[in-house]
Amino acid sequence: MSMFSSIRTFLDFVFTRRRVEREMEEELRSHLQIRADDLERRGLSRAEAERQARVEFGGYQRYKEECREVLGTRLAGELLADLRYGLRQFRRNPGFTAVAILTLALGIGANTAIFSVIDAVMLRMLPVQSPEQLVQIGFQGKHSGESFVGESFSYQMFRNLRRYNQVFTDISAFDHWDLLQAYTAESHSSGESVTGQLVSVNFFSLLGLNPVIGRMFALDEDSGTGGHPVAVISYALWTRMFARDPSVLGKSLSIGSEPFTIIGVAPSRFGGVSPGRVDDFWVPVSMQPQVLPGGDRLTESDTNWLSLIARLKPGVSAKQARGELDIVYQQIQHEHDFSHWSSQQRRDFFTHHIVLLPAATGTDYLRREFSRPLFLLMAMVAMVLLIACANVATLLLARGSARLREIAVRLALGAARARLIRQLLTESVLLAVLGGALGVLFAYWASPVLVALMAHGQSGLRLNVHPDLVVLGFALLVALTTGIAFGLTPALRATRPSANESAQAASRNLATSRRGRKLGSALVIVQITISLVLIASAGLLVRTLHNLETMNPGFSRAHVLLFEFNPSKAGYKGERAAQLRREVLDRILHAPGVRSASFSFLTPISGGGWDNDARSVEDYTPHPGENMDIFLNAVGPGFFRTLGTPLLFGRDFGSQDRSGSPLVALINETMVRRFFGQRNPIGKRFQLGPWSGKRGYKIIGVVGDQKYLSLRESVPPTAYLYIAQLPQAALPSGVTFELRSAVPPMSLTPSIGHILQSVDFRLRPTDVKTLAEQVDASLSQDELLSKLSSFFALLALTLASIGLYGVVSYAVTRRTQEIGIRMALGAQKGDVLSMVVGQGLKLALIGIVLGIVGALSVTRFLSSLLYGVKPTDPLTFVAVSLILLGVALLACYIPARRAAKVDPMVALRHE
Amino acid sequence: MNKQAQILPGTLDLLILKAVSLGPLHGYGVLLRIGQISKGALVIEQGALYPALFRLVRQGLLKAEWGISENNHRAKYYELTTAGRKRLREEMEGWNRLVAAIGTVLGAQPEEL
Repeated sequence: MSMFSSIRTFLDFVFTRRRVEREMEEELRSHLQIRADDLERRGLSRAEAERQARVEFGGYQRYKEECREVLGTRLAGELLADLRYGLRQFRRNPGFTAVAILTLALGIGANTAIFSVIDAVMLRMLPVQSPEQLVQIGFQGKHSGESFVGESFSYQMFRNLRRYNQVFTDISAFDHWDLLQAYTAESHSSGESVTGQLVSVNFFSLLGLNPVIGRMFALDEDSGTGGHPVAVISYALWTRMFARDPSVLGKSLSIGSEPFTIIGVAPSRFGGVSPGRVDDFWVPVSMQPQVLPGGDRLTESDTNWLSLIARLKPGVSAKQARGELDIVYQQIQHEHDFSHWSSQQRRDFFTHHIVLLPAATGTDYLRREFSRPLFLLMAMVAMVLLIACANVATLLLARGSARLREIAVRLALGAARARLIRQLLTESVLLAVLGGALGVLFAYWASPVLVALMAHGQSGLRLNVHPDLVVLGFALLVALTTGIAFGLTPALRATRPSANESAQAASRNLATSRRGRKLGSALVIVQITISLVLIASAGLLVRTLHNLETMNPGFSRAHVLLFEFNPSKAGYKGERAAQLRREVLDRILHAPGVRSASFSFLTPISGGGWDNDARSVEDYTPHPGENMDIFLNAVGPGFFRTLGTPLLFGRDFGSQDRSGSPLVALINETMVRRFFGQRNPIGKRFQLGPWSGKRGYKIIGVVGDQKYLSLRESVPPTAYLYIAQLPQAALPSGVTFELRSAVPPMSLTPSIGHILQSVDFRLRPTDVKTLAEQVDASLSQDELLSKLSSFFALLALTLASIGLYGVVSYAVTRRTQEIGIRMALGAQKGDVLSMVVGQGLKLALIGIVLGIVGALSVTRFLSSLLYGVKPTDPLTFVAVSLILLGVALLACYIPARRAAKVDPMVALRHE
Repeated sequence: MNKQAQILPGTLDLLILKAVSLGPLHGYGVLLRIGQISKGALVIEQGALYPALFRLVRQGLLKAEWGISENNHRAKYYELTTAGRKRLREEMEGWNRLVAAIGTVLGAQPEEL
């Protein structure tokens, strides 16, 4: 019988067994009655007839049992009896039961929590029509010689791919629009935090989604830049902001500062196509220039910003589709205008080929970033569960003596061994399922905490983690497997045929048998070994985070406040904007609490980057095809002083550097090493794009290296340009202001608001945060890993020490008599103490040695997640071993002290 | 009573199918019919019938329904399903082949070899 049908029979049985049983009984009785009637008619008395009928029928109970077996209810009946018996056993041993269930709940709960996040990020299908037909279009190619996969396309490319497409039902484009405030006409001050997407108008029809109320986008709402300020909102936002009021249609919703008219509500379970985000609204892609900075991307063919999702035509394979779309793509590429590109860029451009990524579970927004840490965490919790299993198995073994007597009696009375094993397994599975149920509750509570940890520093990250059927199924599967895993060995051992000698002898024999002890010891060693692997991994991750947090990034992260400033929305452009910036800076510099201030295009570790091919560097001859990429930033006066980056040679930008004066630049140490070696770079020139003029930039100074994109990456060669000198074409629309303060930085926020409004009432600072926060946000993953791995390591350590404590204290109880004899013969308390501790420590030491060997072979898989520490870091390993040894000592000492207090007279009478 | 024969293992199902094929019967009725047709030559312990009946129902060869017996007892009546009818045909053919083969073997004369 398959697993499924036996479960069904069992459930049927639980609900219908009374009826089935009654019917069977009734049928057999009616047989007897009819037969008795017949016999009576032949002249027997009624009593005689009924007796005769029974005799003829044969073994009534035996046939009933056979019938039950045929009906499949015998197994189920026994199972139910076993469950009842098991529950009764648990009630009789509440201490054991509580410890076992709690241990299992922690193990299963941790697994369920991590799995529910993996499910949300990686496994759950999108709630759209036939999600398996969806693919994300990307391209694979080389960038400066390194191969990479890109997912962004220009609007032009999207239009062209869509026009020439033969293999997809349709292609749709979208871009993320990050955390914003949304306001309705009624809401006054505080808005609602929302995230949304700009989508092509065929987005919902491609996904096969119909509105709950209202309509989706019309096909002409793509046309005209900024011509269609309409929005479809999510069911969740409709609930949150509008209490599912159907009159929401036609209302205005201001997102950021742009008003949109609500035209429809999306289906309830839909929150976008990118797991990790829960989108609240969608607006036509033609609204981009109104809502996203950086100019009009709709006409720009060089700006890649849209993700593409497509639905395969029925009968077209992904491979076929890729091939055909790539042909179209190559043709479009050749028509691209790349007259203003460098040769390197052109070479890179023609290495690009279309790739299709399956998108049934959504696009890859989060997956790449989180899959490795999540799988690492999954591996860790699996190890915790293994420890939990070993722990409960130890408990089961230790509890054995009481149980063995009972089992030996039952074996002696003729119970089948298989039947007893089944009963013991039923108990352990029941234990695991109870633990699992509690574990699911833990997970229910823990998953949001986990998501909050992951979301730290990821403004847009919102995960829809809820224990759905998949997660519950996973928990059940884990619980069942666990129950069998920890229950099987003790069950086999307890029912070993040799136990069938005499009940009394057997129980003593087995409980104290060397093999039983060996198994217990082995289980403890396993727990300590796995704990060491976990603690060592956690130690390495904690040290990584510490290294990243305390490293010198080339700037001083404390006491710096950042805010974004984009006056273009208030109508300031070009020279007027530059003047406004200078005025604001001037006022800020005079504000109380401000030590120094500046502004720049980019700030370190903001995630943003600006790089460019150096077309030439004076006195440097590149070899053909050499990657001349350098990173850039445009800064205002006092930038390096404000960030605490030292000026090593030459001078900083000053008032003599203006728009129109010779172009000057500062470069970092890495760029000096890269192009000039030991030579003095001051006064040398380098050229960037066409906008850098005929003579290029003159190097006037060298500054210390500043970490650029992330703390982990080595500093790239970087040149700093002066914002005042940037040509119109390269001028950024917004800048970030930096303030070094003498007071807690966030306390400056109100005065900054006042300063901006006193200059122009329409100006507001946005994205106010400290530099330290910005840097910390980049470490969210490291923080997640270090925190969670420490937690799991602690859990492992606790469980393992409970295991060790259990085994040692069981040994002490078992050997009370022996210890008493030793003491009566003159052994001192110290001797007893060291004997007991010594035996426990022996196990711990074996576990630690095995653990070190295991950890050494496992931690190298962590190396890509580590920073500033080797996977085999001796300090970590020594520290971890000492911690474990200390805990083991404690776990052994407590029972050992009890042993040393044994009164020989009492002990000798002890049975 | 010496004329009575124990039924061969495995043939009970066949006998039940055959008995029921002649019209719906309750359990005791099946026994009566087998006894009647075989003129009392085949003995089935009464209780042994029920596990077999339940098995045949579970295999989908019989269906059962509660009814009222001739002397007013509530009794479960069994009836062949389509699958049961088909199985009966197959089993009968198989049985006949077997009997014929065994008959041939047992009836063999020395001169035929």
